[in-house]
Amino acid sequence: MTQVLSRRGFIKLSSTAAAVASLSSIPGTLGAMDESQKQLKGNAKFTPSICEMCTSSCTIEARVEDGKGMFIRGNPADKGRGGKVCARGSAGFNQLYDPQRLVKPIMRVGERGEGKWKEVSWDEAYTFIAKKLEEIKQKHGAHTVAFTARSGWTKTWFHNLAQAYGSNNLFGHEATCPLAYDLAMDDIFDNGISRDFAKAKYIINPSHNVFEGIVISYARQYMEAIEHGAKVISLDPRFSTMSAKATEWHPIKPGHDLPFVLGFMHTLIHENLYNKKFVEKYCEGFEELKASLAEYTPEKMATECDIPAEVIKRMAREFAKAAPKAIFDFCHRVTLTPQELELRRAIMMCNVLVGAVEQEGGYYLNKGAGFYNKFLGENDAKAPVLKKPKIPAYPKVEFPRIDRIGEKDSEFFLAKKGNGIVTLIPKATLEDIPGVPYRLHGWFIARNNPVMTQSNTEMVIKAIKAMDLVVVHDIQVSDTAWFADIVLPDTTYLERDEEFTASGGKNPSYAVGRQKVVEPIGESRPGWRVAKELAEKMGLSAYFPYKDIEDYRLQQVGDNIDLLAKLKATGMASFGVPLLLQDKKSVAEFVKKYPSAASKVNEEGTIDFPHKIKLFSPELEAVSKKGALSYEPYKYKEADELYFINGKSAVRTNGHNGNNAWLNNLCDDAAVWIHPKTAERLGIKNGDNINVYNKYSTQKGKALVTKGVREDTVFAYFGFGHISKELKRAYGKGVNSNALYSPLVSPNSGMNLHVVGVKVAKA
Amino acid sequence: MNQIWGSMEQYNTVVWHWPIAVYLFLAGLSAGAIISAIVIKWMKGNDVSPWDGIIKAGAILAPVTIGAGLLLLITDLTRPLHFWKLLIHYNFGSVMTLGVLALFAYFPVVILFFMGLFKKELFETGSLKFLAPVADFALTYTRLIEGITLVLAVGVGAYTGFLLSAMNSYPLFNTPVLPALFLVSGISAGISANLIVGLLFFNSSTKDSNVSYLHGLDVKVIFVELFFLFILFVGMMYQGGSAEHVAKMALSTGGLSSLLWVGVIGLGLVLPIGLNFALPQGVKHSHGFVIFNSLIVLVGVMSLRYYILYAGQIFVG
Amino acid sequence: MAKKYGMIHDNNLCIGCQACSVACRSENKIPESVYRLQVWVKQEEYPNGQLGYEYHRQSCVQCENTPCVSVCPTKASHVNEEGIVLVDVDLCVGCLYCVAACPYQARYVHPVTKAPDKCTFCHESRLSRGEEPACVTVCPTDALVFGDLNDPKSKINKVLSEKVTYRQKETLGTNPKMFIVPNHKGGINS
Repeated sequence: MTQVLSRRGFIKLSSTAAAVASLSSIPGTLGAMDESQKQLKGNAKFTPSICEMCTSSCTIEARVEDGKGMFIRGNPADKGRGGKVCARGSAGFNQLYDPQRLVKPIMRVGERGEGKWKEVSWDEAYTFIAKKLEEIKQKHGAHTVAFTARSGWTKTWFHNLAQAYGSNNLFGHEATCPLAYDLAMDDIFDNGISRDFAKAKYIINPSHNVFEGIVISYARQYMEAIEHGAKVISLDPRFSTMSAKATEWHPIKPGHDLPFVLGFMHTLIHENLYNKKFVEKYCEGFEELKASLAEYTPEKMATECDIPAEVIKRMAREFAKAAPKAIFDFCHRVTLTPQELELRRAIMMCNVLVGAVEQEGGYYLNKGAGFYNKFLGENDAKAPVLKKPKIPAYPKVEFPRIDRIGEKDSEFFLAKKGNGIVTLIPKATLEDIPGVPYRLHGWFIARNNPVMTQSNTEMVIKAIKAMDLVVVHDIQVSDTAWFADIVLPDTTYLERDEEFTASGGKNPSYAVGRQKVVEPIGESRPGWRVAKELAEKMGLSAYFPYKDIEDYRLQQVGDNIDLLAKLKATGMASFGVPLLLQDKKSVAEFVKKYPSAASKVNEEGTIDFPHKIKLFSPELEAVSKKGALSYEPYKYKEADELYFINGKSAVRTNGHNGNNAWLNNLCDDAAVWIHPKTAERLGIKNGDNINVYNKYSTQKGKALVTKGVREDTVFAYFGFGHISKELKRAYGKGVNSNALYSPLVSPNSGMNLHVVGVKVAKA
Repeated sequence: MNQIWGSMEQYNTVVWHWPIAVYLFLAGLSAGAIISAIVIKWMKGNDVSPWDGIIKAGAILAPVTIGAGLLLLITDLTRPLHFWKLLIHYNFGSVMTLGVLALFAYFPVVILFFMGLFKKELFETGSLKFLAPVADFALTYTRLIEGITLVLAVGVGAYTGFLLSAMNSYPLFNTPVLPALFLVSGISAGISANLIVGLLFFNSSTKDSNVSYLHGLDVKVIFVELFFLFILFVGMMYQGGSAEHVAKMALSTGGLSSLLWVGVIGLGLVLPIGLNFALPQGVKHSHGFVIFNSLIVLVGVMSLRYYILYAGQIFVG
Repeated sequence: MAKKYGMIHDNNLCIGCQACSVACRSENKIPESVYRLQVWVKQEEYPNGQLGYEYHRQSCVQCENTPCVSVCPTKASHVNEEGIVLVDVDLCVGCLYCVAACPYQARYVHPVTKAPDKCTFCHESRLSRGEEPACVTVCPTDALVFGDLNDPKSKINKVLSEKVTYRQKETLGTNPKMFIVPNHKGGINS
């Protein structure tokens, strides 16, 4: 039954041109639905909500117009985002009416990946899933089913269901995205941190392309910094939009950012550019750090990263001079090296060394309600903490997770259980992992597309085909849903209410999550409802003690009706005043509002950090002997190959909205960037059809000859080359970058690697 | 950077297509036909009935070709059912409005001319007898009508050029030489068309002297046309900047430039002149040759319209 | 005094993200195959070898001396009291003279009405409601400034007085009301 997809079979599948002959709609999609059912029923006044076109989750407002159209804009009450949306946010409306959207549950009737479906009712779907889950529980154990969901969107419901069922293999998408820097923050600061870009005067930006992988608040802050004369250094193997706006662009060698940072830090320490007072007072592990860096001189590191030693030293000096208004940006997602954890730790330590933490223009600790309340006096009103409903205890699980998080010796110990190392799932299904006495047999995937987003597509598909149960909850037959047993139709983000969320920047903040702008179309159902109803089918309703989302929200705020009202009306609320511990003015303002905090202020007029900042990690040392920093050269490619890297485009995101009609019209094919000299050597001209290939896959694309990429590198935008034939507009167009990447799971961080060796030839 | 802004198909600079080229050809031919017909008519010996075949040819060609041209124009509109709005809403700053008004007057006038000329054959007896008073009217005021027709025909012939030259978005159009070139080219086409129709359908009534006169006139007109074509391109080259660049491109790029050199200049201008001076009198005034000569001139004029319309819209610098 | 609307597109702030293009499409119900607005991104190489991106906003520049209005035979193409160039579809016969005459290629034929259409500063949608054009409203980096050129205190006049601006094809004498703040690196392609 489980067919191993041969390389040839996969090539045939992925390189079939977009000549999708069938114009008819499969069962379950909106296209198959009656015309009369397609009218929009919704709010004609602007409703605040949150976008879901990418993980930036920017605040939006949307309203229905004339029952047919919709206008989406940013939420003007959000000062950080300025009431703006990007192209993807504006195009979100297309998801509602898309004929290729799934609105009824469907079950496969052929082999996985054959593309044959039949409509089933929700009851049938739940019955099927509950039965299968019970089977797996009896035969292999509930822990062999992995549950992947998204933070702030679906984790609350599906992770709850998972644990009630008896599985401890809970995951988010983080290991394909920001996990490395999350882990680094927790290791160094014991807290999350944010970056005050707008006020910085010197920013070093390694491939953090906020102008194409748009995070609106970051983009605005970077622009503000640049407009006020900040110097931005762009280290990127390709000339991105960030590189264009930056003051300097240095085409760093792909995968070699760590040597740069180490050489940079070496200069900071050995030229005595670091803030000795700050390091002495607030940090520990400096001597171990200094010792571990001794061999990483700028001269030695220059040959590794292909940036001259003089340049590395100059930047270190400029960075130190600009401190504390200096930021070494620890980026977002593009995973650059197997030493992701070391890289992010090293970057963050640079800011720490010059004391650019908790002051304007540097890093600052995220101050949620828990953190903030510690500084308030007994009689001060405290920042509200969102509650969770009372549920019975979860059944105890006797087995470790596949990433062994929670076990003493787990190399991934820094990762939270709700995030996990999702990139290990294919390996845990197909192979035996040391210390994990079982293989995975099921995967429940909510609003995630691992076939598209995890490295080495072939391996992910192979793993999916080897499982006993694959359930997907999504708005369309995504590339992962294409291989699933059953696909449940999710509501689009415009059709659902979600839980309230709490977080904090310079002070605690709260958000409404998403709010319904229109009534759900067809039979799509949101995550909170699917989890609850499925739980009922499985006899686990005690874990879902709320009637509906409104009820849940009421339980979250307790009796704080004001907060509830404010969130529903404007979409957001905050508490208190911004606090920067090392900024005298900010501290003074804080004490003015909360006089009892005066006891926490030291003689300098600032507040001490609650924890020592760790420049050396005893835990990492104990588990993996990596407490200090080190550089282990890694062979990314053969000598006769080119580096292949990917990045974000401003009009498409990830694997999710390639099929969106408007966005697909803007850009449906991502041509591969090749340097003119390389192109000449290979006999390739601009616009030629080319093959990009390595041992994992052959991808067909078009050539874009440009000087904006290194001679030894080719680049393509991510999110193309879709595999699901039901994504009719996006199917088969462009290069599927993850098909070319290796299945490596990085040590200690679990990140995939987005640098690989390829050959390019004219097709 | 990849093309992330969507399709650029709507930016195709070619807005007006071959129907407009054909219309310009027909309009110029109509004007030229009626002008040369009237010029012949005003000559001693041709000014009384029975009318020379050439005059009859012109009288038929002028309204028929302009009618066909206008029909083509209307069907080429993207909102053809609204075409009548052109007749009641005017913008006197627009060459198109002026053209509409000129045609509004020109069309009836050439029909009048036709009716007067063919009164005996068509309107004295038979089903069209009720139109006899109109034909009489035409005959009564014949000199006035012919004078007005001449003026309007020159207007129509020139307006086709002004239509294009009024646009500064296309450097090849935006020159004062164009109206003159089109008028002269239209006259040449009208002469040739009259000769063909006259010799083929009104052979008996066509005087040889008129044929050789018109042929000779045509050669002179072709010289002027060549001259205008020459100063059009040379003038642009000396203008420098984008005009020079456009001229160079238009003269050397692709099939269009071949059409210019072979079709417009070679076949339609140089060959007629060459043959005129190379062939002995007897041959070049033979009916067969005249028809052949007129045909290649017409091909050349149509090619000119097609070339100018497309080259002007494609080579924009 | 009557309003005279204009707009500034700042090449330094523009990141070519097409948010403006999509918002325009959404607000004005533009059919899928055509665009009122696109932002073209072109890679440039400066004399010292550095690379850059130039951002060109492709849309109607709202000329004061309009080639499109002068050639329209029925006055379907006209300028309103606020300086916005509009198309009265009822009067249009579809001769496409205005489409050809526009030196900025700002017009396209609307697939449904078959009349030429183009950016109208959201005149029929947002301006009538007292809101700014959709593109200006959503631009993530505030690269677009819109306002009344006749009001000395307007934001657009403030920016015009503080930053260097130019307009496209000024030599044609069209007097456009779309101003461009050039990239602070490299030359100006007017």
